[in-house]
Amino acid sequence: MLGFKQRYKALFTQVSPAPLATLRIVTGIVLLIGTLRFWYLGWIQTNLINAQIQFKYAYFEWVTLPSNPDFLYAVFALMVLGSMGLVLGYYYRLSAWLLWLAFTYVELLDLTWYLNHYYFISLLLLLLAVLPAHRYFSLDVYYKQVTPLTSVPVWLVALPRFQMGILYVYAGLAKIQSEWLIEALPMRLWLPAHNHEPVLGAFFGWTYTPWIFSWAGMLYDCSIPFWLSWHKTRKWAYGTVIVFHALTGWLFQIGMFPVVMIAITLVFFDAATHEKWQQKLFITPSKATPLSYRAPRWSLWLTFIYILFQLAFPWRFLCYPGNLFWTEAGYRFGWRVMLMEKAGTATFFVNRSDINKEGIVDNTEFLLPHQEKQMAMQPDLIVQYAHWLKHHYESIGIPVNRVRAEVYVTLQGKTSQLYFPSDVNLLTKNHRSYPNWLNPAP
Amino acid sequence: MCRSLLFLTLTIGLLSCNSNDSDNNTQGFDRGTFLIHYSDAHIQPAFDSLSKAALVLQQQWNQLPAEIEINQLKGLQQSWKTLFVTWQTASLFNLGPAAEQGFRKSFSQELGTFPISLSKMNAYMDKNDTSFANFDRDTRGIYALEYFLFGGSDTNALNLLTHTPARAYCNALMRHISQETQRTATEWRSYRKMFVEQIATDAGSSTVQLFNSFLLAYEGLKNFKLGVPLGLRMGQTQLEPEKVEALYSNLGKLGLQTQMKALESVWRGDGNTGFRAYLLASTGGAELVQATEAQLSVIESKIMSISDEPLQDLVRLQHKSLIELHTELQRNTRFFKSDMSSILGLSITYSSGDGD
Repeated sequence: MLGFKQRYKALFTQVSPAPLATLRIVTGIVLLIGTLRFWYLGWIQTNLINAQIQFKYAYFEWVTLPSNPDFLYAVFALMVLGSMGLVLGYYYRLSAWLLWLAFTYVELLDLTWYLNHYYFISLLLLLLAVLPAHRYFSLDVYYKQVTPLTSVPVWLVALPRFQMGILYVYAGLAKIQSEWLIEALPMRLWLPAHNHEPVLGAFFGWTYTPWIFSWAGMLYDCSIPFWLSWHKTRKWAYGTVIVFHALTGWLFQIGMFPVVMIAITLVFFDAATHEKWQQKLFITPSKATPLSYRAPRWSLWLTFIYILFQLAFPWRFLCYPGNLFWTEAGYRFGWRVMLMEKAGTATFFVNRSDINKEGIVDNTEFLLPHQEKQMAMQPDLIVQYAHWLKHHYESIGIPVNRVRAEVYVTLQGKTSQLYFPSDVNLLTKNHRSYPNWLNPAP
Repeated sequence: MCRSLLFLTLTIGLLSCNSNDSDNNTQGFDRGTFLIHYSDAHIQPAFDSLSKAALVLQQQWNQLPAEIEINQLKGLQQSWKTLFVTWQTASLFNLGPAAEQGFRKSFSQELGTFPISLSKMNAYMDKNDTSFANFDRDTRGIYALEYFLFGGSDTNALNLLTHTPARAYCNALMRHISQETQRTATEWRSYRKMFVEQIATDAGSSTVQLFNSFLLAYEGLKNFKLGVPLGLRMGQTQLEPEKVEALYSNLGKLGLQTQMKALESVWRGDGNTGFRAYLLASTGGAELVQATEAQLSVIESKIMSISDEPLQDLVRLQHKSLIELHTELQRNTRFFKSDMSSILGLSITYSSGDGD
């Protein structure tokens, strides 16, 4: 067994930077495809610009749409350029920082579009922006903008692998609970809806399939980073990665996520493999003079803090009482994916103070269908919407002193229940605080 | 190793669910049959009866002499009533050829907008413009026609129809309704194949389109037939009884009742298939069916308790009962909306999610 000191020293073993170059390239490609896809589908307009209301992340309320919403297209254009910069390793630092900034900005614009994998990409881009991923196999090297590296300390390569490991293992841990494993929920609700698919349709409709999916999913998530890290199982594990993500991508509406995972997981392969394909696909760069990268000491401390944060932040839900799925306090940024089928129906009543009369709001007048769907089951969004309604009606000359709502929420296919007493004046609530005004989970 | 892992997974999976497999037999639910049922037993018949009713009315109209007699007017009114009743079912299906396409709004918006705007209609009549090549959907359709045939009183109506511009406008309304209803009925016949073959459950699939259209119609009934006349919508400061459906024929209650029955019959299907059967075949569905049925019977008894006077009068006279009915309808929304889509695993929007 290695002692702590030896293990610590091992972190500084010099290895080839080839995996970082691959990570840079595949991330760039995925971001390029993702950005163009978003643009091509018209989502810049329909999902972001056309929205009358932007739901905010707590403490990021200051992130708003540009005063001329069409500038958003410029932000997306920056993302396209940034991801090309990543792929080519050209003006890399600038590209990576701009891409991180633009991507995170768009991500923070509207909470209703929150996805775990957007958060993952933001983190990954941040890591890439600080890692020397451009000092090997890049145009910056080719144009002699930077001196090429022949080796980097192993912990730099391990960092993105750790980030992936966190994603998988935490997603797996979140599945170790009775609803997922014993009741096979929500798989029991989702899979039968696919009983029409060719070849596997009958399997998806089979009574026991949801349990197979639940258990396989949990085992996969909990263990795949380790199978990928061990050279003996790596190839097989990567095959599983492809099959698993292709299957979930086919079955569930999860957009680019499977592609992202299949691409980024490549970082687990060893340097020799990366070097092999890099040399096969492209002309071998002229042999550089050996140069090892030495990260500054303070960067090690920063990384240590980053790792602690990544390990601890998903557990913050433990600080809040109640059923996590019901309150969603501490739910986001915790790698909880595919865990619940939740939906709500929300009717808002706005009381105008001038004539003391209550009116019913037609949500479709103000919200995109996706926004309404998300809002109707998340307390902080319900509160934000109530405040927005007051603001909206006052801006057209109708004074408002109370906004209440009748919200019914269904969790895991069980008959919906009243989410909170319908006489609560939502204007007295704050979207940053724990929703202690909810009814207890059914 | 992989094999033993798979074996372990299978074993644990099978062991853990033996105890409660009785509530799960979804693998058999056949959305193909489900869609065929809706197309052949609900949608096509509804479109056919509607276009037939429109044709009967138009033929009757075309045979009128210059001077219309009271019994002829009564005949027209009777035929309009048939059209109105068939409309309550046909307008639930704003999908396929009846869905919004380009500049053409959905079927129920093109033909079923109310309240109508008399001032706009008069403006078009003054200009002899009967082209309907505009976006004023409150100048045409079934309720514009109702105005000419009922006009508040028979004398009014007879008077109105002696004027040439009114007669020409009415003529154009008849033609437009007849054309649109026939187009929809005919096009559905060829659309059917595509409809019944799209058996997926993703956004845009037939099942989801049908579900969305059903839900929209239910919300429309609650909001427009009741909510608006009752002045319940935000921004309204008082009752607006003149905004009831079928204001001139005093058939508002009949419309409400007929459409509620139609919605219920769509939800029920035929016992073997339909939304109800689909729910019963899904995890958690039996509980929801029970809750929905209980609520539907509350709604039915509330509707039954409303008297037969014109709805615009009841808005004042039986204000409390109508508010109660609205509340009960509102209570049912969640069963149709979030609960049903959750249990059936339908994807309502195109956007990608975490699955959370």
